[in-house]
Amino acid sequence: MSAKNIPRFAVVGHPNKGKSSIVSTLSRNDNIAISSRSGTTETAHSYLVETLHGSYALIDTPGFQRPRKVLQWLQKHCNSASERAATIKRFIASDECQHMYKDEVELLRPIAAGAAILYVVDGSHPYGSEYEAEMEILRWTGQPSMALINPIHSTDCIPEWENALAQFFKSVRVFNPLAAEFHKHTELLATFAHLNPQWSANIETIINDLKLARQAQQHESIKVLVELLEELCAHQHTQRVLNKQQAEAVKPMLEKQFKQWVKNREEQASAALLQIYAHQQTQVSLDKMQLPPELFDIDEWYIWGLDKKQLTYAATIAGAVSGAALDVAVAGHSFMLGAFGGGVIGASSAWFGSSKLLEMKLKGLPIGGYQATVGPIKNRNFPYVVMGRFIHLYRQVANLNHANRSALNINAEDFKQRVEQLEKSDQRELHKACERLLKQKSVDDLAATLAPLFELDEPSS
Amino acid sequence: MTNTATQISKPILFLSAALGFLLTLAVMNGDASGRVNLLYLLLIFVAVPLFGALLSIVGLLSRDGINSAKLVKALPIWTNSQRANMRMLERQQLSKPWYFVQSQAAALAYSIASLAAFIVLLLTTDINFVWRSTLLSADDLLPILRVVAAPWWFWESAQPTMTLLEQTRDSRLLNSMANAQVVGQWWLFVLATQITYAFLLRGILLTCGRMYLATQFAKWRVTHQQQSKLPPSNAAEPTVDLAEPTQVLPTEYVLLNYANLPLEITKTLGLGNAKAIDLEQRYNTAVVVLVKAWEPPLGELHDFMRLNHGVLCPVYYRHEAALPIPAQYLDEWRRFTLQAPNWQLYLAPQGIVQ
Repeated sequence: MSAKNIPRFAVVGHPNKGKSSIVSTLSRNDNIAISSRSGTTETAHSYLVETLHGSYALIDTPGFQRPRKVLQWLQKHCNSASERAATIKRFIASDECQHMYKDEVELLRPIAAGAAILYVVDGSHPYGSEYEAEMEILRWTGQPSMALINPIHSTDCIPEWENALAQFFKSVRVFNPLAAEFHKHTELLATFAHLNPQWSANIETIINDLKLARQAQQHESIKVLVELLEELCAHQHTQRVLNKQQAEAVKPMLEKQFKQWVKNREEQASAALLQIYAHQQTQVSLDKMQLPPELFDIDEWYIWGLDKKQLTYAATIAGAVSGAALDVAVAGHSFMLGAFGGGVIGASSAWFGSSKLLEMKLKGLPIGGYQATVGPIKNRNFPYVVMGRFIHLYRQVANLNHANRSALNINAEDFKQRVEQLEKSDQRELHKACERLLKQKSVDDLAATLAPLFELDEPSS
Repeated sequence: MTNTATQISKPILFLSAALGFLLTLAVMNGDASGRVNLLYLLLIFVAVPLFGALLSIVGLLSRDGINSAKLVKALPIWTNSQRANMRMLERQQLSKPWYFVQSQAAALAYSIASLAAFIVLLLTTDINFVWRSTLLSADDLLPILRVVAAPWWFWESAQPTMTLLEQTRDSRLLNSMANAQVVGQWWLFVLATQITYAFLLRGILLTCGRMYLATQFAKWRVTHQQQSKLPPSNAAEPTVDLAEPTQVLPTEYVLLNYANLPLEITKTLGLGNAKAIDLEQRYNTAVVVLVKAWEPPLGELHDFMRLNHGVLCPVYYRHEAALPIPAQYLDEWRRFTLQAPNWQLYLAPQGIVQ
């Protein structure tokens, strides 16, 4: 599609009625400046919304500042209705107007260049006739247009606005850029398609792309939780020491490091989640995760930091491999007794001889000893706490519009209920997966097990 | 990153080296007469290393990798921190290059141990290299051996010759070789195959693998640094000075209804009869301009204020009743008034802030 055929929409209106908010939400861009002070947007700025197979442009514009004077100027310089669009172009081109009516020139320029009009008003305050001048100016452009009522604080005055706007616009929609759910975004986009029939195929493609992207975002979020869960459930902080007294001495430091690591890892996951949904400015306040007490332990370690069980496994494998080499050397005439015998010898020597390694040294370096450990967390509730906190944040992030700059928080109070809402079979799978995670065993397709938790309240798209 | 790789690869290196040493000892020992089949050695020192290297490269380039690497991960010998490192590598999408580097390191350890075992045997025992074949003759074999020996063309004494081939052909029907000195001469050729196809090949692949891993890790770190931090707290909006509202009106004034307020509302204010505004007009007396509190001040009002003097009176109403003005709206008018000389902000008794 050539740049000329890309659907373009100029978002215009009175100052401070949420034009930038609408552009921010629809373009999924939270870098667009939004302020409660009027006049934040001083120049028109085009934001290209690109999806996999299509794109459209939203143009954020400054608000009308002198609509009555501008309308007077237009009326004075136009003799008939057929000249109105041309008069608008003359107005934009005029040096005098560029100086006197800078904001109007800026907002009308993209419309004169072919953009459709999205006229934004605030539905929480009464309609006033002073708006008629700007609506009349927009009518003069002859461009396709629709009105959006933004209920900034309430919906009290929407009916009277609808009545007034219907006089000037064929299509009038209510859209709250701060609170509208995803399906309302796509519904609104679908109405944009009616403004210009040439754009409808492209907009349909964009809507489909957005729905697919939404699903992909959910999958990505599940992946982030899978990684978070696996890592938090397996994480361990260790410090090798010479004896048990030294181990006790490093306990406070290790516990502090462990807690800090958990906090950092959760922050990382939260940042990844925000990244998936393209929220670059959103603040998240992470309450401290309550970790179970008594995470500290003192273990024995042997060569390469292996514990007794791991050392036995390693010795079994090494013995079996060596025995197998002998089997090869005798061309299999040993009936694989070499591999079997080697494995047994390796296992038993590691199991029974490991305690001696604690005292042994190789070139002055110990090949065994003690280590103070914090974690991994074995508490049965822990995976649910992690999931609950993450999903609580996920629900906020996934439904957060980019115009909404409020900070998010983490709270997992309702997670038990959420799990209970799952099908019984899904609940069983989830419990099994959590058990395995706590036992440091891998879970096949953990993402599929967690997916139902994310799909529970997914708004229909 | 280097620490992570080194830490995890130690058990693999040990197992590979042990396997290489023992297998070489076992194979090179030969039969009771110390005879070793040269063709078996070609299989072990040329075909297997080449096939293994090919498999590694295919594994690195294929989409899912080679599952044998994942089997290594499933071995119950990894400590928690090692498993955490492996998970981290998967998260960084670096596990494939990591497995590649590890397998090259393992193969290198295998070849070094194998070379060591070979040298030990050369020093301590007589190895008799012979070859046997039902189908192949020395004429068939020589071109193949020359291709194998091509990488060390400059090393004359390690090249195969027809004479040596013919002299070392063996048959199990024969009890002993005629010339025991001759059968030992293949050792240079065997050593060269080990150095070239096992040691050097894996060394090059290991170096390339490490460089690739380091590049990929650096790339990941750049992206990760951008993604892993929560946005910092927003700086508070700068505070701006605001005009102090007055509750005193000029003694003489003209009341102008700039906002087209309904008559019912202007009456409740008790300020007199309001006139429609003419934005171009200049008044001799002070003017009181009625504005809607929730509407932001426009440029046209600002133009009018530059021509005149007086007070702005913001009004907030619902259903024909004036109400207190919410603070957020009043602040906008206070900010605006402060920038207008000769103007004040008037708060009607009904306009007290909520």
